[in-house]
Amino acid sequence: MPMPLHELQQSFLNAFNDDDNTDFVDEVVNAGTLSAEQRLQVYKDSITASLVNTLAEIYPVCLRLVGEEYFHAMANIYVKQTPSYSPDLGDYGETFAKFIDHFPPAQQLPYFGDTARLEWAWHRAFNGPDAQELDFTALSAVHEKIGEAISFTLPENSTLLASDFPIDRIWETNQPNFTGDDIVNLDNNAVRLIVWRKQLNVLIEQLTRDEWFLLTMFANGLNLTEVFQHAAQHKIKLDIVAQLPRLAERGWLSGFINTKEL
Amino acid sequence: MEMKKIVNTALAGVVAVGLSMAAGTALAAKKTVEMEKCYGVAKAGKNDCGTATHSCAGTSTKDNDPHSWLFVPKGTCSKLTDGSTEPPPKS
Amino acid sequence: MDNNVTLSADNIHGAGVGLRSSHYSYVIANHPPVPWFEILTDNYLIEGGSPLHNLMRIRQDYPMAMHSVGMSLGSTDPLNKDYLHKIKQLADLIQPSVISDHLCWTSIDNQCLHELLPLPYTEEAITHVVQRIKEVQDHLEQPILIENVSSYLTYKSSQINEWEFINTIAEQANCYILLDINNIFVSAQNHNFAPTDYLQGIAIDRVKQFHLAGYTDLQTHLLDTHSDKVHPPVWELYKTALKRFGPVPTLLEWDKEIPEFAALLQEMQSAQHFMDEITGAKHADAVA
Repeated sequence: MPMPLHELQQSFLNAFNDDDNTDFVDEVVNAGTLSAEQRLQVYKDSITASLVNTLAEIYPVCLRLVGEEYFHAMANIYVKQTPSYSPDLGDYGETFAKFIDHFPPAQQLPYFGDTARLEWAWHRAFNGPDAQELDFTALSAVHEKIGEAISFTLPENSTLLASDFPIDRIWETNQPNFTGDDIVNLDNNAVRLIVWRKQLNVLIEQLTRDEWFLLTMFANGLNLTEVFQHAAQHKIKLDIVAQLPRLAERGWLSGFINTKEL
Repeated sequence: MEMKKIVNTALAGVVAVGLSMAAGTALAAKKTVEMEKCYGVAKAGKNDCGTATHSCAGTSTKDNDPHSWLFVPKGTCSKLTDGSTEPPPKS
Repeated sequence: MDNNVTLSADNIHGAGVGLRSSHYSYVIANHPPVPWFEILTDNYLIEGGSPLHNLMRIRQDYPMAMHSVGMSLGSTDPLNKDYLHKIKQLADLIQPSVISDHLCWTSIDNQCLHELLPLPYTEEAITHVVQRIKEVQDHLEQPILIENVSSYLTYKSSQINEWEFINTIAEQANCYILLDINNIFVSAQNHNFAPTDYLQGIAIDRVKQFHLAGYTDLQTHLLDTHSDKVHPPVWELYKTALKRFGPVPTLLEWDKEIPEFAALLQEMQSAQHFMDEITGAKHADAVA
C-alpha cells in the first residue's frame, strides 16, 4: 500500500519544519547522482532560500546596514521559526522587526528593529489599496450638525511609526541612489512618522507632536469631543483650528465617520 | 459651547481645504510628470524570484544558532554615530 | 463546467516574454515588438499601487496570459477560495488569453512552502487533482492550463510516467497543458529518462502553450533557476516539440539575474525563428 497523499505531504512538512526526514525519505526513489536524502535537501534548501530572498527584497535597508552575511544568517534563523501562511510571498515577514528586537546578537544595533518596521510599512504602502480622498462635499453637508461626533480615518495604506532613532534618515541614506552625507547621528533624533502612498508615490513624512497626537487619536477611533477632552486632561495645548485643516491638506485624512451612528 | 465653536471652526477649515483643492483640479492634471517617475520604481514582485523558480541554498544552514553567533555586521551601520561612544574603528 | 466554454488562446501567437517589474519602464517607453506577455499573477493580487497601474497600462497594448504559482492543485488541503477569488477578479480586469498554474503542490496544513513540489504518479493523485482542477475551472469560469514542473525527486509509489500522469489529468479534467520544454529537459537529466519520450507521450491537442528558460548546472543535478539563456539542448528539444505540436505560443521566462530587455528580445526572436522555420507558420497563418 503506498502512503496516502495527505500523509506523504505531511511527512514532507515534518522534514522541512523539524528535520524529521525519515518518513519522507523512505518514499523517495534512491537512484542516480543524488541520494533520496540529498534530493529532499534540494527542496528544503530552495524553500529556505526563497523565504530568505523574500526578506532581503522587503528589507533592503536592513540588509545594507549589517551586510549580506549577517543578514542571511539572521534571516535563516527567522525563516526556521516562522512559517508562511499566505500564497503571496509579499505577505511574508511582517514579524521580522519584532524578531530583530529580541534577537540577542542584534542588541548592539538598537535602531535595527524600528528600521525594519519602517521598511515593512513602506512595503505595505507600496502594495496596499490606493488612498481615498476625503469627501469634502459630504463633510460640508453635515459638519455643523454632527461636528463633535466626527472622527477621521487615515489612508488605508498608511502606518504611524514613532522611533527613538532617526529611521527616516537611516532609510534615506541607505537608498541605492543616495548621494550626500551618509553619516547619521543617532542622538536626540527621535522621530514620529507617517508612511503612506499618495497616488503612486510612497511617502515617509515626519509629523509634528500635534499632528502625531491628532492622527493617533483618530487612528484609535476617537471623535473630536474625545480628542478635546483627552488634550485637556493631559494639558496638551492644541490649536485644532490650525491643525485639522493641515492634516486634510496633506492627504492624511481619507474619510470621516459619525461616531454617534456607530 | 466653547468646544463646539472650536470644532466647527476647525471643520469649516477642513471644508475650505476641499474647496481650494477643487479649484486646483485643473492644476492637478499637470502632476503627470511626477507620476511618470513612478514607472521607474522597479521594486521586484516578490513572487517573481520566489516560487516560480528554484533557489540554491544561500548561506550554509549551519552556525545558525544565535548562541554561537559568529557574524559581525559589515554594512553601513558603521555610518551611524552615537555621541556617547567612540567612532567605530576602521576595519 | 460546460464543455463548450472555450479557451481564448487564439489571441496569443508566436513567441512572447514574461513581463517583469524591472522592464516596466522600458516596455512603456519603447513599446517593443512583443506579440504577447505573460504575467506572474501572484504579483498583482494586490489592491493598488504602481505594479497594478503599470500592468493596466501595458495591457492596453498587448495581449496577456496569466500564470500563477499558488493554486496548489496537488495539495490535500482545501482549495484556497480567497486566492482563487482574487485571481478571478484580476482575470475580469485584464481579460487574459489563458490562465495557467502548475501540476504540483505548494502548501500543506495551511503552510505555504512556495516551492513547486512534485506529486506521486498514482491513481489517488490523479483522482484528487482532476477533482480540484474542475473546481478551479468552475470558479474561474474557464479552462486552465497546467504546467509540468522541474523536479529533483520521484516517489517509489509512482505507477506511471510523468507524461502519462499529466496527459490523463488533462483528459479527465478537460483542461489544457502548458508544456515547459526546459522543465522536461531538467527533469529528464535529474531522473534519467529521454526527454523526447516525454514529448511523444503528450496528446497534441491538449498543448496550448510552451515555456522556455535557462537552468543552472550544478553537476550532480540541473536546477530550474530561470537565470540564463536557453541552453542548446533545450533549443533542440524545442525544435522537436515544434515538429510534433506545431506553432504553439511560446513564452520565454527569465527571473533571476534579469538582463536588459534587448537580451530577452533576442532570445524571443530565436524562438520565433525556429517556430517559423519548423512549422512554416508566420503569425498571420497561425490564426486559422
